[in-house]
Amino acid sequence: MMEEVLEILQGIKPDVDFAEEKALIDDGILDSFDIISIVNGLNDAFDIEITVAELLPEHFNDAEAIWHLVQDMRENG
Amino acid sequence: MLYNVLEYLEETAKRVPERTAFTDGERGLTFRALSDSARAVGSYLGHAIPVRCPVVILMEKSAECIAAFMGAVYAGCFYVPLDSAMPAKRMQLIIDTLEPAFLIYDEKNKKTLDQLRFSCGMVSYGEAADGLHTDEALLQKIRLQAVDTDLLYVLFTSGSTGVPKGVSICHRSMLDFTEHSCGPLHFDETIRFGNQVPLHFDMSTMEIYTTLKMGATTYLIPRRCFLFPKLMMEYLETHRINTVFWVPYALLQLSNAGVLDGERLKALHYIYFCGEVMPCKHLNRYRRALPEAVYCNLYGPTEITNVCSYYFVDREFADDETLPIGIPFCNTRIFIVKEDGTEAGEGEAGEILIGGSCLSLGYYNSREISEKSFVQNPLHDRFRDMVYRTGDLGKFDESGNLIFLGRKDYQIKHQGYRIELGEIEAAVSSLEEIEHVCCFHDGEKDYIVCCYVGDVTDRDILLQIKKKVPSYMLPDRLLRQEAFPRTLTGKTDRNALRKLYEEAEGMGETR
Repeated sequence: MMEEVLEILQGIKPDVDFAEEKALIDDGILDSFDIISIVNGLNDAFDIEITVAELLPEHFNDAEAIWHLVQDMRENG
Repeated sequence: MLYNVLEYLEETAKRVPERTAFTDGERGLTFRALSDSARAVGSYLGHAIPVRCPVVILMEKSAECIAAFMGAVYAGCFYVPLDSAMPAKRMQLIIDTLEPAFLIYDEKNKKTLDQLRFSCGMVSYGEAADGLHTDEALLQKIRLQAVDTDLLYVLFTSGSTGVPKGVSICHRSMLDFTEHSCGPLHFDETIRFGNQVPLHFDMSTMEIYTTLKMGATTYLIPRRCFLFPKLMMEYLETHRINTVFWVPYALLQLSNAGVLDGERLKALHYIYFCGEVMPCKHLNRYRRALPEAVYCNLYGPTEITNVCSYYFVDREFADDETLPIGIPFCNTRIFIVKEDGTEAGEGEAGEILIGGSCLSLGYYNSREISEKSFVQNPLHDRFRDMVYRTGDLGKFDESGNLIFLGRKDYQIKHQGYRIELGEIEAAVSSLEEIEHVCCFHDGEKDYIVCCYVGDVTDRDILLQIKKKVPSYMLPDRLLRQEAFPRTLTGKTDRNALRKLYEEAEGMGETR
């Protein structure tokens, strides 16, 4: 599933190396447009609903964190 | 009479030296520290370069960045902020137009320097702001030769040709704006601004100079808060922000996320906006969530120093009504000239022209482009009376309020009809399900293209707006988006949307 997450991220921002970047938010790599696109992409692909409560920087700083968020949402959401 | 903006800083630093002037919530500068740092930077620059030269500031949004601005002013020079979030090509175009005399950078932006070609000297902020440099005699000498028509800053806005235009603003224009805006906008020393826009965008000059004049405080809200509504709510609440002056989109991010809560934002009293049209539908959501707040719609291009008109929302507005942009500030003249060159009467539409001390001294190093926009008052030729042609269309309503009707370039010819794209946008925007809308014209195919964000079908949009606009105004192409691309300031990025449309139409490669 991690691969699937990476694929979605790569599709939204082809110019970012999601496997390597560890500070997507802290370094200002993602903007609000990207975050909305990522959330919508993940919601559709994994049939989850990420809400404002989960919209926090620590869930988006790298691909692994995003993957954990998706896992949590699938188990509990 | 005031003639230099540093008089604000000096008076306030004397009156309330220990009060915080600018801060991100954790790190900031008091008025005393701001004044000390600015004089150090001014002395450093004063020894290095002559007066009346451009100084580029390439720094993170921070209190230190504003100290660097003021440092350039102390040196008798003018500041030009650059932002490493700008594309490198754009920064290079700006540097080429400007031919700066000096550049100040901070550690975070050191890497950006490698991407730029420039021939002037440079210094890190930390080195320039070292108090050991401070040379009061030099600063005094510089001040004695200053006049209020000296440039204060140059801010670059995007030009239609793709080359950014450097709007040049002098001390007198900024003093004129600050002196005449603080009263009507209720700004005093209790104001706690929550800044949204980047410091290279002219809306931020209201926060900077109001803070300096009044001894108010500006919180430079960290960028990440604008990505995460929950963080923003915490920030506004923790720092008891009572005043925001944001582009509508930034405000909508909070209301759309459903986090607006009057119980938590008790301090937030003044909600001001500018930069784009605020749809009444969105304003009404705010008014329901925060009914006690004061709402003000402001209008003005960078070329007339920040904003020139304001409208306090003083009655209910239906979702499909247009919010007026109001009345001019004192000492600013706004008038409307019709296509035939005569002045418009009440209710008549035409181009919005602006005159007064607020007028920019033109686009830096671009005389030809300047002369197209800064012109002799077209109503007479008896003496020199310069006005700025905004390229915006407007009219005065029966109560004397200015109504914005759209950009002149958004007026298109479609199937032989003259159409305001803004009118189509307003019709689509008033639909309940629509979050954002942007229309443009594909001149080659003569299509009206309508991009939107919202949970609704193309068919429903057409069926519903048919009731509001004539059939020749119905969009030929509807393009649903998950979200709109935004410029650095948070405005809709129309060029990026047009590219998305061209790709969708399969035109991307042929152009």
